[in-house]
Amino acid sequence: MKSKRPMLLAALLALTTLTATYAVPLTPAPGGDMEIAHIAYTAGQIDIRYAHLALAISEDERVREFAQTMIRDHSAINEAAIALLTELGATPVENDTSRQLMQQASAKRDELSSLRGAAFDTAYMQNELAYHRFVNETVETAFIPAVENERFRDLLKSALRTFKAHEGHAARLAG
Amino acid sequence: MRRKLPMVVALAAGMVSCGTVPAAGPVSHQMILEDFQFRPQTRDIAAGDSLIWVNNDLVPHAVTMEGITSPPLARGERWGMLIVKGGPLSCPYHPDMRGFLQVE
Repeated sequence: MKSKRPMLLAALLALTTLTATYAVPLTPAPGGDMEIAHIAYTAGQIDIRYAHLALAISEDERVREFAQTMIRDHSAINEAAIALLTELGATPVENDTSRQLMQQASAKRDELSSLRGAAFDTAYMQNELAYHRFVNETVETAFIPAVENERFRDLLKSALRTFKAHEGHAARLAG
Repeated sequence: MRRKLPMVVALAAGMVSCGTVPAAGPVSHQMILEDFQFRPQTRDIAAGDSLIWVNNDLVPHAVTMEGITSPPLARGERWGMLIVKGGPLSCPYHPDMRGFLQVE
């Protein structure tokens, strides 16, 4: 809906200012719901990959349990998203924002991969906290208000509830 | 939403009460895992009753109570257990998800 486009762009601009680590470039969203779907799915896949890295490197039981929860939860959410989009006959549309997220995540994984022990655990958990804060702000202030399909919007609301639980969990471990 | 899978009933081994049996017999209560909470918050539950947990959330949960932890419960899946004394409830995957089961 055209009337929601300025709000979406304004929210992304605010996020770019406040979360330099996860700066998302402003891009038009001509695909609307399907571009948002691709971004949301990509964000989940990114966190799953961070978690696999943590399982490969961390020896801290609490960090490993957190990572396993990230894999379990983000996989379930992405599977639910795929099921819904399949039922709707819709296809997510790749876009500059989702590509930029992937590039930034790749750089972050390279950075984390060079760390070991407590240094890795601290960096991983702090990244998880920052990442979930960024994602939650984006979903709540930009995506949910902009999405037109009611069922997709309900899915995002349910996902947001999970992501906020993750943020709380990460805050406990980030120190 | 996935429908229920075969239910697993776990006994609190060696801890089932052999005391007085309520005249009306044990009752099965359905409890819900929803919005990262254990619901309902209050319920008239007696020792010897059983609980059937069903997960209504998008992500898997598990239930830990009386020293027993359920298997992972995907959305729509159920798990049952016999109640002895109640007490704290928690999900091992989500540390902020906590409750308490009051048993008469």
